[in-house]
Amino acid sequence: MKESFLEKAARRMDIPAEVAANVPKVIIHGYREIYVENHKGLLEYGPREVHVNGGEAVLKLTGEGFRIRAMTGSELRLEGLIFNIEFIY
Amino acid sequence: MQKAVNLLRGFVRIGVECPYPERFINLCAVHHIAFWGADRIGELRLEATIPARCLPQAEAFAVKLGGSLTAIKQRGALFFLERFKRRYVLITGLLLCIAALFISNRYIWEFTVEGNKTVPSEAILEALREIGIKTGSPASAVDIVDIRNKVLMKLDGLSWITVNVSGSRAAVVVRERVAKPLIYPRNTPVNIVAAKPGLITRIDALAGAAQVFPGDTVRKGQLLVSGLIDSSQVGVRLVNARADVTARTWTELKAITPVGAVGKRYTGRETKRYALVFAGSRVNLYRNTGQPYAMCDKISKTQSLRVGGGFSFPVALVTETFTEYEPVAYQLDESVAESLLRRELSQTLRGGLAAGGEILTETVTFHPETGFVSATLTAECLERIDVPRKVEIGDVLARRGDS
Repeated sequence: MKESFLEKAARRMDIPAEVAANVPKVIIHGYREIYVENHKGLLEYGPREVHVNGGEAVLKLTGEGFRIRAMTGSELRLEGLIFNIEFIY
Repeated sequence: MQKAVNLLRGFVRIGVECPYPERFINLCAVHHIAFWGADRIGELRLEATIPARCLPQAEAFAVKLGGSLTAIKQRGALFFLERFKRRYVLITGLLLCIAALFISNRYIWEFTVEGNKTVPSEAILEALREIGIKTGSPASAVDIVDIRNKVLMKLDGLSWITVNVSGSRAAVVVRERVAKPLIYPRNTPVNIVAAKPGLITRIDALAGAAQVFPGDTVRKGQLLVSGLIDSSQVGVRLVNARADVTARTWTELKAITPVGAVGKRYTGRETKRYALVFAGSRVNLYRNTGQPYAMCDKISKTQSLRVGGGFSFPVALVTETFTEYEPVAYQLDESVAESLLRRELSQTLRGGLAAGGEILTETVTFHPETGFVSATLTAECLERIDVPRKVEIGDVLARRGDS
Protein backbone atom coordinates (compact mmCIF):
# COMPACT_ATOMS: atom_id res chain seq x y z
CA MET A 1 0.00 0.00 0.00
CA LYS A 2 1.31 3.40 -0.94
CA GLU A 3 2.18 5.77 1.91
CA SER A 4 0.18 9.01 1.71
CA PHE A 5 1.81 12.43 1.57
CA LEU A 6 0.62 13.33 5.07
CA GLU A 7 1.88 10.05 6.51
CA LYS A 8 5.23 10.61 4.86
CA ALA A 9 5.42 14.21 6.15
CA ALA A 10 4.44 13.13 9.67
CA ARG A 11 7.12 10.45 9.64
CA ARG A 12 9.78 12.91 8.43
CA MET A 13 8.83 15.49 11.10
CA ASP A 14 8.50 12.94 13.89
CA ILE A 15 4.80 13.75 14.37
CA PRO A 16 2.47 10.90 15.36
CA ALA A 17 0.76 9.70 12.18
CA GLU A 18 -2.65 9.36 13.85
CA VAL A 19 -2.53 13.09 14.62
CA ALA A 20 -1.28 14.38 11.30
CA ALA A 21 -2.68 11.88 8.82
CA ASN A 22 -5.74 10.75 10.76
CA VAL A 23 -4.78 7.12 10.44
CA PRO A 24 -6.19 4.66 12.98
CA LYS A 25 -4.40 4.06 16.22
CA VAL A 26 -4.89 0.61 17.74
CA ILE A 27 -4.09 -0.19 21.34
CA ILE A 28 -4.46 -3.70 22.71
CA HIS A 29 -4.78 -4.16 26.46
CA GLY A 30 -3.78 -7.71 27.29
CA TYR A 31 -5.80 -10.29 25.38
CA ARG A 32 -9.31 -9.15 26.04
CA GLU A 33 -9.56 -5.47 25.23
CA ILE A 34 -8.83 -3.44 22.15
CA TYR A 35 -9.06 0.30 21.66
CA VAL A 36 -9.29 1.88 18.20
CA GLU A 37 -8.92 5.60 17.68
CA ASN A 38 -9.72 7.46 14.42
CA HIS A 39 -11.95 4.71 13.08
CA LYS A 40 -14.46 5.36 10.32
CA GLY A 41 -17.21 3.13 11.60
CA LEU A 42 -18.03 -0.55 11.87
CA LEU A 43 -18.44 -2.62 8.74
CA GLU A 44 -19.36 -5.81 10.44
CA TYR A 45 -20.03 -6.63 14.03
CA GLY A 46 -20.59 -10.00 15.62
CA PRO A 47 -19.50 -11.94 18.69
CA ARG A 48 -16.77 -13.77 16.74
CA GLU A 49 -15.72 -11.27 14.10
CA VAL A 50 -15.54 -7.49 13.92
CA HIS A 51 -14.55 -5.41 10.92
CA VAL A 52 -13.56 -1.84 11.69
CA ASN A 53 -13.23 0.70 8.91
CA GLY A 54 -9.84 2.36 9.27
CA GLY A 55 -10.06 4.53 6.14
CA GLU A 56 -7.50 3.06 3.80
CA ALA A 57 -7.53 -0.34 5.44
CA VAL A 58 -10.00 -2.53 7.28
CA LEU A 59 -9.08 -3.87 10.68
CA LYS A 60 -10.37 -7.42 10.96
CA LEU A 61 -10.60 -8.87 14.47
CA THR A 62 -11.43 -12.47 15.16
CA GLY A 63 -12.02 -13.92 18.55
CA GLU A 64 -14.78 -14.85 20.92
CA GLY A 65 -17.47 -12.97 22.83
CA PHE A 66 -16.89 -9.56 21.24
CA ARG A 67 -18.86 -6.78 22.79
CA ILE A 68 -18.74 -3.01 22.29
CA ARG A 69 -17.97 -1.46 25.64
CA ALA A 70 -18.22 2.10 24.33
CA MET A 71 -18.20 3.85 20.99
CA THR A 72 -18.10 7.42 19.77
CA GLY A 73 -17.56 8.96 16.33
CA SER A 74 -13.77 8.46 16.52
CA GLU A 75 -13.17 5.99 19.33
CA LEU A 76 -14.13 2.38 19.80
CA ARG A 77 -13.52 0.14 22.79
CA LEU A 78 -14.14 -3.55 22.28
CA GLU A 79 -13.86 -6.41 24.72
CA GLY A 80 -13.66 -10.12 24.07
CA LEU A 81 -11.00 -12.78 23.71
CA ILE A 82 -8.83 -11.76 20.73
CA PHE A 83 -7.44 -14.52 18.50
CA ASN A 84 -6.30 -12.62 15.45
CA ILE A 85 -5.81 -9.06 14.22
CA GLU A 86 -5.58 -8.54 10.51
CA PHE A 87 -5.34 -5.50 8.25
CA ILE A 88 -7.06 -5.79 4.88
CA TYR A 89 -5.88 -3.26 2.32
CA MET B 1 -18.60 7.93 39.16
CA GLN B 2 -19.77 7.58 35.58
CA LYS B 3 -22.19 4.87 36.72
CA ALA B 4 -23.67 7.22 39.30
CA VAL B 5 -24.09 9.97 36.70
CA ASN B 6 -25.75 7.51 34.32
CA LEU B 7 -28.10 6.35 37.05
CA LEU B 8 -29.01 9.92 37.85
CA ARG B 9 -29.64 10.86 34.26
CA GLY B 10 -31.34 7.58 33.39
CA PHE B 11 -30.49 5.03 30.72
CA VAL B 12 -32.36 2.57 28.53
CA ARG B 13 -31.45 -0.91 27.37
CA ILE B 14 -32.66 -1.08 23.78
CA GLY B 15 -33.14 -3.83 21.26
CA VAL B 16 -32.77 -2.87 17.60
CA GLU B 17 -33.88 -5.03 14.74
CA CYS B 18 -32.86 -3.90 11.28
CA PRO B 19 -31.14 -5.34 8.18
CA TYR B 20 -27.71 -3.93 9.05
CA PRO B 21 -27.30 -3.34 12.78
CA GLU B 22 -23.74 -2.06 12.15
CA ARG B 23 -25.23 0.93 10.35
CA PHE B 24 -27.28 1.72 13.41
CA ILE B 25 -24.10 1.61 15.54
CA ASN B 26 -22.27 3.89 13.10
CA LEU B 27 -25.15 6.36 12.98
CA CYS B 28 -25.25 6.55 16.76
CA ALA B 29 -21.48 7.06 16.96
CA VAL B 30 -21.49 9.80 14.32
CA HIS B 31 -24.41 11.63 15.97
CA HIS B 32 -22.75 11.53 19.39
CA ILE B 33 -25.17 9.10 20.93
CA ALA B 34 -23.03 7.48 23.59
CA PHE B 35 -23.80 3.80 23.95
CA TRP B 36 -22.24 0.95 25.82
CA GLY B 37 -22.68 -2.77 26.41
CA ALA B 38 -23.60 -3.42 22.76
CA ASP B 39 -24.23 -7.13 22.07
CA ARG B 40 -25.02 -8.70 18.74
CA ILE B 41 -27.83 -11.14 19.50
CA GLY B 42 -28.59 -12.49 16.05
CA GLU B 43 -28.19 -11.72 12.39
CA LEU B 44 -30.59 -8.78 12.55
CA ARG B 45 -30.73 -7.93 16.22
CA LEU B 46 -28.54 -5.81 18.43
CA GLU B 47 -28.90 -4.82 22.06
CA ALA B 48 -27.20 -1.80 23.62
CA THR B 49 -27.58 0.69 26.42
CA ILE B 50 -28.07 4.37 25.63
CA PRO B 51 -28.84 7.49 27.72
CA ALA B 52 -32.58 8.01 28.22
CA ARG B 53 -32.53 11.41 26.56
CA CYS B 54 -31.19 9.88 23.28
CA LEU B 55 -34.03 7.37 22.97
CA PRO B 56 -36.21 9.35 20.48
CA GLN B 57 -33.22 10.03 18.22
CA ALA B 58 -32.12 6.38 18.32
CA GLU B 59 -35.68 5.32 17.54
CA ALA B 60 -35.67 7.61 14.52
CA PHE B 61 -32.41 6.03 13.27
CA ALA B 62 -33.84 2.52 13.62
CA VAL B 63 -36.91 3.52 11.61
CA LYS B 64 -34.72 5.23 9.03
CA LEU B 65 -32.78 1.97 8.58
CA GLY B 66 -36.02 0.08 7.99
CA GLY B 67 -36.08 -1.56 11.39
CA SER B 68 -37.58 -1.06 14.80
CA LEU B 69 -36.42 -0.22 18.28
CA THR B 70 -37.81 -1.54 21.55
CA ALA B 71 -36.93 -0.40 25.04
CA ILE B 72 -36.13 -3.51 27.08
CA LYS B 73 -35.31 -1.98 30.44
CA GLN B 74 -35.34 1.56 31.79
CA ARG B 75 -33.32 2.57 34.79
CA GLY B 76 -32.36 5.76 36.57
CA ALA B 77 -33.71 8.46 38.85
CA LEU B 78 -35.93 9.88 36.12
CA PHE B 79 -37.80 6.61 35.58
CA PHE B 80 -37.95 5.96 39.31
CA LEU B 81 -39.66 9.30 39.90
CA GLU B 82 -41.98 8.78 36.97
CA ARG B 83 -43.50 5.82 38.84
CA PHE B 84 -44.92 8.23 41.39
CA LYS B 85 -46.48 10.48 38.78
CA ARG B 86 -50.04 9.37 39.54
CA ARG B 87 -49.65 8.87 43.29
CA TYR B 88 -51.13 12.21 44.25
CA VAL B 89 -51.45 11.52 48.00
CA LEU B 90 -47.80 10.53 48.22
CA ILE B 91 -46.68 13.61 46.32
CA THR B 92 -48.90 15.83 48.48
CA GLY B 93 -47.48 14.22 51.63
CA LEU B 94 -43.95 14.72 50.37
CA LEU B 95 -44.61 18.36 49.54
CA LEU B 96 -46.25 18.91 52.93
CA CYS B 97 -43.28 17.27 54.61
CA ILE B 98 -40.84 19.52 52.73
CA ALA B 99 -42.95 22.56 53.60
CA ALA B 100 -43.08 21.50 57.27
CA LEU B 101 -39.31 21.02 57.26
CA PHE B 102 -38.80 24.41 55.68
CA ILE B 103 -41.16 26.22 58.08
CA SER B 104 -40.05 24.26 61.14
CA ASN B 105 -36.44 25.11 60.39
CA ARG B 106 -37.23 28.75 61.09
CA TYR B 107 -38.08 28.03 64.74
CA ILE B 108 -36.00 26.86 67.67
CA TRP B 109 -37.05 23.47 68.97
CA GLU B 110 -34.09 22.47 71.04
CA PHE B 111 -31.70 24.23 73.41
CA THR B 112 -28.32 23.06 74.61
CA VAL B 113 -26.30 24.90 77.23
CA GLU B 114 -22.55 24.63 77.45
CA GLY B 115 -19.77 26.28 79.40
CA ASN B 116 -21.56 26.41 82.77
CA LYS B 117 -20.36 24.71 85.95
CA THR B 118 -21.95 26.54 88.86
CA VAL B 119 -24.92 28.25 87.22
CA PRO B 120 -27.53 25.56 86.43
CA SER B 121 -28.62 25.14 82.84
CA GLU B 122 -32.25 25.43 83.95
CA ALA B 123 -31.56 28.88 85.41
CA ILE B 124 -29.99 30.03 82.13
CA LEU B 125 -32.90 28.65 80.09
CA GLU B 126 -35.38 30.23 82.51
CA ALA B 127 -33.67 33.60 82.10
CA LEU B 128 -33.87 33.20 78.32
CA ARG B 129 -37.53 32.20 78.62
CA GLU B 130 -38.24 35.36 80.59
CA ILE B 131 -36.93 37.49 77.74
CA GLY B 132 -38.95 35.53 75.18
CA ILE B 133 -36.39 33.04 73.86
CA LYS B 134 -37.97 29.63 74.39
CA THR B 135 -38.91 26.44 72.57
CA GLY B 136 -40.91 27.45 69.52
CA SER B 137 -39.49 30.97 69.27
CA PRO B 138 -38.60 32.09 65.75
CA ALA B 139 -34.88 31.89 65.05
CA SER B 140 -35.03 35.47 63.74
CA ALA B 141 -36.00 36.64 67.27
CA VAL B 142 -32.52 35.83 68.54
CA ASP B 143 -30.76 39.14 69.01
CA ILE B 144 -27.41 38.35 70.58
CA VAL B 145 -26.76 41.85 71.91
CA ASP B 146 -30.22 42.07 73.47
CA ILE B 147 -29.86 38.62 75.03
CA ARG B 148 -26.45 39.49 76.42
CA ASN B 149 -27.71 42.75 77.91
CA LYS B 150 -30.76 41.23 79.55
CA VAL B 151 -29.57 37.79 80.64
CA LEU B 152 -26.30 39.02 82.14
CA MET B 153 -28.32 41.46 84.24
CA LYS B 154 -30.48 38.60 85.52
CA LEU B 155 -27.73 36.08 86.21
CA ASP B 156 -24.86 37.42 88.30
CA GLY B 157 -22.87 34.23 87.88
CA LEU B 158 -22.36 34.77 84.15
CA SER B 159 -19.88 37.08 82.52
CA TRP B 160 -20.69 36.32 78.87
CA ILE B 161 -23.41 34.59 76.88
CA THR B 162 -24.17 33.93 73.25
CA VAL B 163 -26.77 31.89 71.39
CA ASN B 164 -25.72 30.11 68.20
CA VAL B 165 -28.71 29.07 66.15
CA SER B 166 -28.05 26.22 63.75
CA GLY B 167 -31.15 24.99 61.96
CA SER B 168 -33.75 24.49 64.65
CA ARG B 169 -31.22 24.00 67.44
CA ALA B 170 -29.90 26.77 69.62
CA ALA B 171 -26.60 26.30 71.41
CA VAL B 172 -26.35 28.61 74.40
CA VAL B 173 -22.68 29.17 75.20
CA VAL B 174 -21.85 30.88 78.47
CA ARG B 175 -18.79 31.89 80.44
CA GLU B 176 -19.07 32.08 84.18
CA ARG B 177 -17.89 34.99 86.28
CA VAL B 178 -14.63 34.39 88.10
CA ALA B 179 -14.67 35.81 91.64
CA LYS B 180 -12.24 38.70 91.74
CA PRO B 181 -9.53 38.56 94.39
CA LEU B 182 -9.63 41.03 97.24
CA ILE B 183 -7.44 43.81 95.89
CA TYR B 184 -7.58 47.31 97.25
CA PRO B 185 -6.52 50.27 95.09
CA ARG B 186 -2.95 51.43 95.61
CA ASN B 187 -4.08 54.67 97.23
CA THR B 188 -6.24 52.91 99.86
CA PRO B 189 -4.58 52.44 103.25
CA VAL B 190 -4.45 48.72 103.96
CA ASN B 191 -3.17 46.56 106.85
CA ILE B 192 -2.01 42.99 106.44
CA VAL B 193 -3.57 40.61 108.96
CA ALA B 194 -3.31 36.88 109.66
CA ALA B 195 -5.83 34.68 107.86
CA LYS B 196 -5.30 31.87 110.40
CA PRO B 197 -3.24 31.26 113.53
CA GLY B 198 0.32 30.05 113.07
CA LEU B 199 4.04 30.40 113.66
CA ILE B 200 5.70 32.93 111.40
CA THR B 201 8.58 31.46 109.40
CA ARG B 202 9.18 34.27 106.94
CA ILE B 203 7.94 37.83 106.46
CA ASP B 204 8.68 40.01 103.43
CA ALA B 205 7.12 43.40 104.06
CA LEU B 206 7.14 45.20 100.69
CA ALA B 207 5.26 48.23 102.02
CA GLY B 208 4.19 49.11 105.58
CA ALA B 209 5.64 48.43 108.98
CA ALA B 210 6.11 44.80 110.04
CA GLN B 211 4.54 44.10 113.40
CA VAL B 212 5.67 40.51 113.79
CA PHE B 213 8.89 38.62 113.09
CA PRO B 214 9.90 35.05 112.22
CA GLY B 215 9.42 32.86 115.27
CA ASP B 216 6.39 34.83 116.53
CA THR B 217 3.07 33.06 116.96
CA VAL B 218 0.01 34.90 115.71
CA ARG B 219 -3.74 34.61 116.16
CA LYS B 220 -6.31 34.77 113.44
CA GLY B 221 -6.88 38.40 112.45
CA GLN B 222 -3.74 39.65 114.20
CA LEU B 223 -2.01 42.60 112.57
CA LEU B 224 1.07 41.42 110.69
CA VAL B 225 2.09 44.49 108.67
CA SER B 226 0.63 47.85 109.51
CA GLY B 227 -0.44 50.40 106.94
CA LEU B 228 0.16 53.17 109.47
CA ILE B 229 3.77 54.28 109.57
CA ASP B 230 5.02 56.71 112.17
CA SER B 231 6.84 59.61 110.62
CA SER B 232 8.86 62.25 112.41
CA GLN B 233 7.86 64.84 109.80
CA VAL B 234 4.11 64.34 109.28
CA GLY B 235 2.99 62.20 112.17
CA VAL B 236 1.19 59.02 111.06
CA ARG B 237 1.53 58.18 107.38
CA LEU B 238 -1.04 55.87 105.72
CA VAL B 239 0.21 53.35 103.15
CA ASN B 240 -1.11 50.42 101.20
CA ALA B 241 0.74 47.64 103.05
CA ARG B 242 1.95 44.72 100.98
CA ALA B 243 3.67 41.64 102.33
CA ASP B 244 4.28 37.92 101.83
CA VAL B 245 3.93 36.27 105.21
CA THR B 246 4.57 32.53 105.47
CA ALA B 247 3.74 30.58 108.59
CA ARG B 248 3.50 27.07 109.94
CA THR B 249 -0.12 26.39 110.69
CA TRP B 250 -1.85 23.57 112.52
CA THR B 251 -5.26 22.35 111.47
CA GLU B 252 -7.57 19.96 113.24
CA LEU B 253 -10.56 18.58 111.39
CA LYS B 254 -13.18 16.19 112.62
CA ALA B 255 -15.63 13.97 110.78
CA ILE B 256 -18.10 11.29 111.75
CA THR B 257 -19.96 8.57 109.87
CA PRO B 258 -22.58 6.03 110.97
CA VAL B 259 -21.52 2.39 110.64
CA GLY B 260 -24.99 1.13 109.85
CA ALA B 261 -26.55 2.18 106.54
CA VAL B 262 -29.54 1.43 104.41
CA GLY B 263 -28.85 0.23 100.89
CA LYS B 264 -30.94 -0.87 97.91
CA ARG B 265 -31.46 -4.34 96.57
CA TYR B 266 -33.13 -4.36 93.18
CA THR B 267 -35.91 -6.91 92.82
CA GLY B 268 -35.60 -7.09 89.04
CA ARG B 269 -39.07 -5.67 88.40
CA GLU B 270 -39.12 -2.74 86.01
CA THR B 271 -41.82 -0.61 84.41
CA LYS B 272 -41.39 1.72 81.47
CA ARG B 273 -43.62 4.63 80.61
CA TYR B 274 -43.55 6.77 77.53
CA ALA B 275 -44.61 10.33 76.83
CA LEU B 276 -44.36 12.64 73.85
CA VAL B 277 -43.41 16.27 74.11
CA PHE B 278 -44.71 18.47 71.28
CA ALA B 279 -43.13 21.90 71.33
CA GLY B 280 -42.99 21.90 75.12
CA SER B 281 -46.42 20.31 75.71
CA ARG B 282 -46.31 16.82 77.20
CA VAL B 283 -48.69 14.05 76.18
CA ASN B 284 -48.52 10.97 78.40
CA LEU B 285 -48.88 7.64 76.62
CA TYR B 286 -50.07 5.93 79.80
CA ARG B 287 -53.11 6.16 82.06
CA ASN B 288 -51.92 5.51 85.59
CA THR B 289 -49.85 8.47 86.68
CA GLY B 290 -49.09 7.07 90.17
CA GLN B 291 -45.80 5.49 91.19
CA PRO B 292 -45.88 1.81 90.12
CA TYR B 293 -43.93 0.51 93.13
CA ALA B 294 -43.76 1.59 96.75
CA MET B 295 -39.99 1.98 96.54
CA CYS B 296 -38.34 2.52 93.20
CA ASP B 297 -35.79 4.51 91.25
CA LYS B 298 -37.05 6.64 88.40
CA ILE B 299 -34.83 7.40 85.44
CA SER B 300 -36.11 9.78 82.75
CA LYS B 301 -34.55 9.94 79.30
CA THR B 302 -35.59 12.46 76.66
CA GLN B 303 -34.78 11.78 73.03
CA SER B 304 -35.34 14.52 70.46
CA LEU B 305 -36.13 13.60 66.89
CA ARG B 306 -33.17 14.92 64.92
CA VAL B 307 -32.08 15.06 61.31
CA GLY B 308 -28.33 15.41 60.91
CA GLY B 309 -26.58 17.82 63.21
CA GLY B 310 -28.61 20.96 62.71
CA PHE B 311 -32.30 20.19 62.47
CA SER B 312 -34.48 18.75 65.19
CA PHE B 313 -38.22 18.24 65.07
CA PRO B 314 -40.40 19.76 67.79
CA VAL B 315 -41.10 16.24 69.05
CA ALA B 316 -39.30 14.43 71.85
CA LEU B 317 -39.88 10.98 73.29
CA VAL B 318 -39.63 10.74 77.07
CA THR B 319 -38.91 7.29 78.49
CA GLU B 320 -39.37 6.86 82.24
CA THR B 321 -37.96 3.71 83.76
CA PHE B 322 -39.12 2.69 87.25
CA THR B 323 -36.91 0.07 88.88
CA GLU B 324 -38.21 -1.48 92.09
CA TYR B 325 -35.91 -2.02 95.05
CA GLU B 326 -36.08 -3.21 98.63
CA PRO B 327 -34.34 -1.35 101.44
CA VAL B 328 -31.59 -3.45 102.95
CA ALA B 329 -29.84 -2.55 106.18
CA TYR B 330 -26.16 -3.32 106.17
CA GLN B 331 -23.23 -2.76 108.41
CA LEU B 332 -20.40 -0.66 107.01
CA ASP B 333 -17.04 -2.35 107.35
CA GLU B 334 -14.79 -0.41 109.73
CA SER B 335 -11.95 -0.17 107.21
CA VAL B 336 -14.36 1.15 104.58
CA ALA B 337 -15.72 3.74 107.03
CA GLU B 338 -12.18 4.82 107.92
CA SER B 339 -11.22 5.08 104.28
CA LEU B 340 -14.28 7.25 103.59
CA LEU B 341 -13.49 9.52 106.53
CA ARG B 342 -9.82 9.79 105.59
CA ARG B 343 -10.71 10.80 102.03
CA GLU B 344 -13.30 13.32 103.20
CA LEU B 345 -10.96 14.97 105.72
CA SER B 346 -8.05 15.03 103.28
CA GLN B 347 -10.19 16.77 100.67
CA THR B 348 -11.38 19.35 103.20
CA LEU B 349 -7.79 20.04 104.30
CA ARG B 350 -6.56 20.55 100.75
CA GLY B 351 -9.54 22.73 99.94
CA GLY B 352 -8.74 25.08 102.81
CA LEU B 353 -5.01 25.34 102.07
CA ALA B 354 -3.76 28.64 100.68
CA ALA B 355 -2.46 28.62 97.10
CA GLY B 356 1.14 27.35 96.99
CA GLY B 357 0.90 25.95 100.51
CA GLU B 358 2.28 22.54 101.41
CA ILE B 359 1.30 19.92 103.96
CA LEU B 360 4.23 19.02 106.22
CA THR B 361 2.58 16.34 108.32
CA GLU B 362 -0.85 14.78 108.23
CA THR B 363 -2.18 12.39 110.87
CA VAL B 364 -5.62 10.84 111.09
CA THR B 365 -6.83 9.09 114.21
CA PHE B 366 -10.03 7.06 114.34
CA HIS B 367 -12.34 6.60 117.31
CA PRO B 368 -14.83 3.76 116.88
CA GLU B 369 -17.96 4.32 118.91
CA THR B 370 -21.26 2.51 119.13
CA GLY B 371 -22.88 2.87 115.76
CA PHE B 372 -20.40 5.51 114.60
CA VAL B 373 -16.81 6.01 113.58
CA SER B 374 -15.31 9.41 114.15
CA ALA B 375 -11.97 10.65 112.88
CA THR B 376 -9.70 13.54 113.70
CA LEU B 377 -7.17 14.87 111.23
CA THR B 378 -4.25 16.87 112.50
CA ALA B 379 -2.06 18.52 109.93
CA GLU B 380 0.89 20.85 109.97
CA CYS B 381 1.17 23.03 106.92
CA LEU B 382 3.43 25.71 105.55
CA GLU B 383 1.42 28.40 103.83
CA ARG B 384 0.90 32.10 103.33
CA ILE B 385 -1.41 33.63 105.90
CA ASP B 386 -1.39 37.30 104.82
CA VAL B 387 -4.68 38.93 103.85
CA PRO B 388 -5.25 42.63 103.27
CA ARG B 389 -7.73 44.54 105.42
CA LYS B 390 -8.71 48.13 104.88
CA VAL B 391 -7.46 50.59 107.52
CA GLU B 392 -10.44 51.87 109.48
CA ILE B 393 -10.67 55.29 111.02
CA GLY B 394 -10.62 53.63 114.45
CA ASP B 395 -7.13 52.23 113.72
CA VAL B 396 -5.84 55.74 112.94
CA LEU B 397 -7.43 57.26 116.03
CA ALA B 398 -6.10 54.45 118.22
CA ARG B 399 -2.57 55.03 116.84
CA ARG B 400 -2.83 58.79 117.47
CA GLY B 401 -4.03 58.07 120.97
CA ASP B 402 -1.03 55.75 121.51
CA SER B 403 1.43 58.31 120.22
